[in-house]
Amino acid sequence: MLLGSLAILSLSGLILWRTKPESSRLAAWFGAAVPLAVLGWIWRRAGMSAAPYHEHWAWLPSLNLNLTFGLDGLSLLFTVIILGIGAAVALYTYFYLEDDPRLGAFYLFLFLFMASMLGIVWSDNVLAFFVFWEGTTVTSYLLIGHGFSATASQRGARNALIVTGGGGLAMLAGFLLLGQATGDWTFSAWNAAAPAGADAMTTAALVLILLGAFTKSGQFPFHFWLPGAMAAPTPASAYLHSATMVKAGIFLAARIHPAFANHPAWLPALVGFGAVTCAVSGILMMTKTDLKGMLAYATLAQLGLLFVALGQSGKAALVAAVVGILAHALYKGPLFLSAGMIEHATGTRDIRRLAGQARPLWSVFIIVATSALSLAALPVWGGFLSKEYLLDSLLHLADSMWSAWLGLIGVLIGSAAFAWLAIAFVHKIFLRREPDAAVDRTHRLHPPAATMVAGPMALAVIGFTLPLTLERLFQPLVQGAVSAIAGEVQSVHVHLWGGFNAVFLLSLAALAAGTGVYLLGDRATRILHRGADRVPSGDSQLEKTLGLAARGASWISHGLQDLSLTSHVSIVLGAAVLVVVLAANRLGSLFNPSDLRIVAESPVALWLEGTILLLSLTATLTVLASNNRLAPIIALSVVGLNVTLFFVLFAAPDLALTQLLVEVLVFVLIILILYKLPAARPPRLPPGHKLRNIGIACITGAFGFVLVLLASGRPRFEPISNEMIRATWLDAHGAANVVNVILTDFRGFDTFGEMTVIAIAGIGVYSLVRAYRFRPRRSQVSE
Amino acid sequence: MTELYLKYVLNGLTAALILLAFFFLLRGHLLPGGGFVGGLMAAAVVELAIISQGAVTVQRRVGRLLLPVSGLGLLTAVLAIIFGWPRSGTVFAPVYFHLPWLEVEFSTALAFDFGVFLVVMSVTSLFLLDLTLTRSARSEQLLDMEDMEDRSVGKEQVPPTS
Repeated sequence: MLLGSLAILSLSGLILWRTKPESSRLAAWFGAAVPLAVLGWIWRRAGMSAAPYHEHWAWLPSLNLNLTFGLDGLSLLFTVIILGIGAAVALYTYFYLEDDPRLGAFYLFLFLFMASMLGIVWSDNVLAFFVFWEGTTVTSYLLIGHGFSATASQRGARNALIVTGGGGLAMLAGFLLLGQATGDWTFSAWNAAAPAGADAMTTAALVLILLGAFTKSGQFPFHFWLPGAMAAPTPASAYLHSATMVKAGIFLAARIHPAFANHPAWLPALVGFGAVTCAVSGILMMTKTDLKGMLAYATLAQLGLLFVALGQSGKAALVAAVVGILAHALYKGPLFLSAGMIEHATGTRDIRRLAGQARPLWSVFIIVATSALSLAALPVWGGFLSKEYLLDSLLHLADSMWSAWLGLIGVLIGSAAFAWLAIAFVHKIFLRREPDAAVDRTHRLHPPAATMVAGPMALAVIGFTLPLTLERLFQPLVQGAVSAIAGEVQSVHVHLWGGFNAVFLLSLAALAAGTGVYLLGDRATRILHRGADRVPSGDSQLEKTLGLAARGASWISHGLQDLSLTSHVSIVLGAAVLVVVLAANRLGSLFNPSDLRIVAESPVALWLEGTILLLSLTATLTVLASNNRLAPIIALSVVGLNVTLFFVLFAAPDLALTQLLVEVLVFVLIILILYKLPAARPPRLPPGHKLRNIGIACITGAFGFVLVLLASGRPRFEPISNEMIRATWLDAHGAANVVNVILTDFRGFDTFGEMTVIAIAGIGVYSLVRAYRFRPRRSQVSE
Repeated sequence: MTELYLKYVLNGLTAALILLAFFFLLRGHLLPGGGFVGGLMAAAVVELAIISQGAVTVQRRVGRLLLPVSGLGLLTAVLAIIFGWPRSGTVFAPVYFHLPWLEVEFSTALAFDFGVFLVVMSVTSLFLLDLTLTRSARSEQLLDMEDMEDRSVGKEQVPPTS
């Protein structure tokens, strides 16, 4: 069922891509219906059932890579979020990109992303998890870069790819370490064994896996890619960069929680990074003016908050995390989509240029206002519940855990920032009369179509009414997810109202602080700016690193690939000699002078060999002595043909045949090329170069001589050819040519690789030699 | 560089060399030979043609085939590799056919070797041809002519440049 769901989603993406969705509104409804249908199917089969649902498909068992899908409470929660919000976003996308000719491609990437994301939350096998994880990285890259002509899109897409892709690789390394240590390759096995003592291996794995989670979820100092990714079309931002993909890091931390729960560094690391991110992004957010930029920083702060929640061992904190995940998806999604509608309608996303939109954009106003209730953490909506539980847990732990204090401060700053954001959105965009900055009057205001509003409105309404469904839906969902994270069944009772206590007072204080900052207005913003400017943005560091990498690459390639053919050949030959000599050095004890033997041969053979040797020597001397081009080539060919004769004498007909053909083909080819070269004599080399060339030639020659001498001595090991010959007789249906059987049967894979290399070399020569054919045609130039 | 005497022996030599190339290919499993040697032999045919008729003529006759043929060779090898998959459950497993009326045994290893033959022949010929074609004024002319053909074949008629 789960694999089938992935197939259905990918297939729907392909259908939407190929059928030119921009021509029919049906596409929008189709795009929304498919995820909902899949969700309904999964819910009927496996939703809310007591026993977790499992599915197993062998993929590459030899690599421990299998599609082992499981559906427990945590994955079910994420499945609901992914498919539910996915449906709303798919519907919305059609109207947001109404005139975009690449709408089909956008749908394709969106659905592929959806499938990858579901793969992440369902995979029990860690390697499959990694595959799907990078699947979201790649589709996210494609979605951010959708407007690929804009520099901002390219840069944002590239940074996101590098940061999250690099983090993904670190995570894979962590998985491999842990897999090697335990011999298991599934989360369920790791969680059941709870291996984490604090040995070096586990600690290294923990650090690497955390690196993956923190980069994906944009935790400080990797926070910069997320605001950069806001160059994506708004539906992608709403879906990937707030509701689903950035939560993959949270999901990973939650999924692997029981395995690391005993490790002393696990909880403090989560709380520490989460708290710092929460505070820093909260402050950075209040200095921004772009609607999507503000929402992006708010998302970062919320993700930090979720990490703080996961970083505590109590049940209350886990409830806070789960409720927070759900509530955040339900309010941040609509807010993002509203930002898109506001831009669509007014032509700007700059909050300073917006005012008084409550009446013209009344439907958007409703969405923003209802979502803001949860954002600002007003009782009794989701944001409030999450924060109550979190503060409660932090206060309880504050005596025993130093990191709880850090978490408390971070969460309070973040909460104040959320309150500020909620007030700013509602007041600045909709209620106030006059904007701060001049408004672009050329853009004609057009309210969004009812169908465009439908998706975000549905999400906002669900978020608004969530507390009403407490008994039947909300609580079982939360309980399932909490049990899955904790690794054992927990009974959870969510209270909408915890009473008038210290926790509530802290909430009130944060709310008041946010309101205060908002009322102070510009004066407060200026102070915040001063602090925000000091925060290092990883952006420029990444840029510098990339520049360094590019310079290093060009240094290496220029150093090794000199334009001069002579030095090129010297490097290749020198490297070959050096590598073999270094290896031979370690085998030095194997060499024994007494192994060399001189076998008395018949006088005829001696005469033959002597003649061949003499011919070769003469030809070699001719090469050295001649001072035109033709003679050395002919003489070299003579040497080659003599080698062929040697092969014949030593009963190696295959080698002789090949050598003969290659010799002839190359000889004729060089003659043909010489024919085209100008008649001028080659320039005289400076003496230093000549000496160097002679040196390299002598060393290579001596090296070859010694190597052959050693190889023809008494064999120290049983030669592998015996086994090959035996196998040829037995296995290859009476074939007799061992060389050919090795090439086509025993080592067929190697041969296939070589064929591919030859074919690629052919393409390379073709494109290099004929490069001038690809000059622009005259007709194109004139356009 | 077209040699008169070569023009007269070309036809006979070409046929003989091609036969020889296939001979080497087919007997590869039993006696010295095989796809690699056969491919080189077949490339020698192209080289002979270059010497006797000139690279430009050869390019016009077979030049465009060479790259596709190398792809065909790879494809043949892949098909030979996966042919035994359904039966034995693993790739690279050779399958033998006994053809009774010919009293000959045929195997996928031979098909694989044929792929090697095609790749070696076409890529070697491509090297020979392209390296002899380079930087001669005549070949530039030829390629320009091909450009013109391409354009007249194309659907939209390109107006003459202003």
